[in-house]
Amino acid sequence: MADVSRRGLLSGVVAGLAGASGAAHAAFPPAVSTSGGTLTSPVPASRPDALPADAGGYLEGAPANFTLQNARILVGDGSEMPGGVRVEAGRIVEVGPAVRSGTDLGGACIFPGFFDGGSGIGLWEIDLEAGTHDEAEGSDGALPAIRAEESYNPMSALLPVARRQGVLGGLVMPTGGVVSGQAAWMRFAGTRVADATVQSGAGVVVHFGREGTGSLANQARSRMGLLWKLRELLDANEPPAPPDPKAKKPKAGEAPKPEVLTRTQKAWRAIRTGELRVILSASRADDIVAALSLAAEYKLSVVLAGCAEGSLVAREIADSGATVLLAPVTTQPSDWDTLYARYENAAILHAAGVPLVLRAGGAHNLRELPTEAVVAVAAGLPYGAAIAAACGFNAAKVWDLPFGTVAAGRPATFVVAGGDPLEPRTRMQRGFIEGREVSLRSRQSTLFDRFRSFE
Amino acid sequence: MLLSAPVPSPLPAAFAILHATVLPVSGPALPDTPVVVQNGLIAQVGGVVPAGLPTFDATGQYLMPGLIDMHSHMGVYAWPGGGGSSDGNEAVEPFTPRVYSRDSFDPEDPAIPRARAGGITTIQVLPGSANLIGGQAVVLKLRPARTVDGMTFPEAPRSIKMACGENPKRVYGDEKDNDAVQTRMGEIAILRQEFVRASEYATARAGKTPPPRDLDLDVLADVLAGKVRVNLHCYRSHDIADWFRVADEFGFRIVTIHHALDTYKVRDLLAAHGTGIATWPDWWGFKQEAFDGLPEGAALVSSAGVPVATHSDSASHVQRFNIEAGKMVRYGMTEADALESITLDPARLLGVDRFVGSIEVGKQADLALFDKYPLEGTARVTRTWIEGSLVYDRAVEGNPDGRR
Repeated sequence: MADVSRRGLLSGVVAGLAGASGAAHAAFPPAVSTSGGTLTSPVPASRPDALPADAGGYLEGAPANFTLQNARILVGDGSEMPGGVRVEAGRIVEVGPAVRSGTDLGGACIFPGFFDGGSGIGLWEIDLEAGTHDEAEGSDGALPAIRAEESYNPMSALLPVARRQGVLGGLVMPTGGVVSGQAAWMRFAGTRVADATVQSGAGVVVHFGREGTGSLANQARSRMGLLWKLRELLDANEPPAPPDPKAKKPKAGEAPKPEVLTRTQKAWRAIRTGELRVILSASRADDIVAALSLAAEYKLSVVLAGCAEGSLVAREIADSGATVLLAPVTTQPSDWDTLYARYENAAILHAAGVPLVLRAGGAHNLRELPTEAVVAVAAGLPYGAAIAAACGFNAAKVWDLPFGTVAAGRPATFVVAGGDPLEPRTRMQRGFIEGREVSLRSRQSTLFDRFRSFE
Repeated sequence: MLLSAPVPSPLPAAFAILHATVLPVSGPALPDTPVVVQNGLIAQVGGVVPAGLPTFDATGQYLMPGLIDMHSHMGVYAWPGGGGSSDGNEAVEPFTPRVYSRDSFDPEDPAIPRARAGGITTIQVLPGSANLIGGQAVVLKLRPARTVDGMTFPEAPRSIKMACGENPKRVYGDEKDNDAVQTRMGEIAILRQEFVRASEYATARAGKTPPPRDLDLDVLADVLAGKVRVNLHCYRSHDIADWFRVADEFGFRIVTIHHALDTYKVRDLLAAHGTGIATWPDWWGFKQEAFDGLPEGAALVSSAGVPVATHSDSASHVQRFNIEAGKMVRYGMTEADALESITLDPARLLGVDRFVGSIEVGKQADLALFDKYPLEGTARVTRTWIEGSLVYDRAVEGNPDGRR
């Protein structure tokens, strides 16, 4: 029987069994901060360890010029190469084996960072504290004009927790009703919403199936009612036909008054013309099909979300050309609308040609994004496809975002991981957003420091 | 109709698993080591395999003791979720020692075969945490069975679930018609009142004219007599201190604090009381009392000599228990301790470590075979055995689906 008393602080990695990245998994030395485990390239001693509360996570006021070498580089598109990265004025200017100067990363991994494909981070702080919730407007069932970033709290304690595991940004989605409002891509640093916002108006979130039903105005209580209501709203906001060039010009003084549209009407018109994307969230296979049918009927510009049963209708999804925001692991057959959820969902959708953006969901544990990815890999998703889906590459193709690729000419947004970024034992070492290093400390690091010793 | 998972044919009474790297948990890894199973027990680890025994070649794979999750609600909140299968909280009053999770347990919960496919062999099924004393828990083996009687773990001691902090006061404090408790001080007062009654009942029960049987006090009297292991759902360090004070006053022992997100702040108190914890690597923030949870907490508590079990509290996470342990390593635990946290430590805290939790001669042959080192993210269980019977074979079942 093992002796409980042999527990000591935290050394003894079972080297050898763990594979090649044992050093990267080295346990934290008790006297060191929890920011990133063992650093081969320590943060300069001159930098303050405890950040001022208003720093917004940035360790530097302006982009720095720096060079990192001797790393495994995951480009983001699924490819990888050895070498280093040279950064100037916030941009990557050189990548790869030719970079042989600068800080030696000792074989650590440079990758684009994780970017979550749909969560509520920043919109609420504590699940069970009503006073912290701003993710669901709920004053009407259909609110296409409201914008998630206007609820977003850039000082949320949840953001540094995500950042610490290399999650540098994500799509923040409102909830509630059938049409919840517009999602926004946020970077997880900065003290003001304007600084944190990468792209507002990233898509209007529309819910299908049970998740869209309810008792608000403009909301229906059943699936059939929901589709009727959505069609009513889409029909009512049909953009006017272009003026008939053959029509007689009205005389002066008889011209019709220009239409005065509400913000809601403007948003619906933008949806109808395809200028404003819709994010169709559906779980059950037939709900996914219904969402795609509606999108085709009205020629909407769509991204799909959820798709727990997507593997059953992979062909239809692939034919639509829509990208899917997917939580492959945490979506379980635990609910009547997800009975056909399966581990192979991501792999099947990928094999059918569906572009995927992975998400961890919720708000508190975006740091589970690598787990979502690695378990999808175990169930057949190719590793490179998992990186492209979890690290912003696929998302950037849909939204034209300034991250997701470690390549010359791209903004210097990336993370240095102690080992394979998808592996459960791996810790992150450093993070950069557009050339500025960001802190990997969080409120949890402060608590750890405070209670590490009772002396 | 499928009754739980299809049951693969059991292997013969005696067989040997050859060439696996054995992770006994009770000791260092043993490369290319045979394990012989006989009559449901581990008969031999290493050495020469007796001639003529059926063998299973596990070259390149890793053999672990079956994984143990001491905080499960499988079967009492069976899938698909909803009111019809919500049977974990008897929230009629905050004090219900009389109820027993066995009596809610649905062995056809489709989450169960998925847990077996993750190498889980033993679970403790707890009532929910709405009540200060929520009821008795049952420890089960995940044998495919049509009734709970086919899943019993007869050697397991009795156990009970208690809870404190936000849940009881939220469940009862918000109810207009049932304001049984609204504050933490109210919770402690109820607790003391009930243990006063239980003490008096225990004395009377042992006397010449025992009182009429009271199913609640029968259980609590047994708690006071040390016959029932106490599992306390608790987050905040000040709640923990309060409950230790009550336990000390009445002379019962809190064996395990569950969730335990603040225990790193008072790990010396736990060590002094011989109390262990069961916790997650990274859940936090869902309520105020969980806001100070930090992922290094478990490693800090472990460093104080306190047994730490990784628990799931989730029919989903339990399927990837090896990854939960892997995250424990990310957050500072040694790999040996992390592997122990999903096997031997929960076995100790459940009082079943003489029977399960490690690969040692004489223990029950509950085994999980992984295709890779189990702390790797892509490692998957290929076979699970319970008492020598093959209860999961990936080659036959793949990833079990979630439908009844």
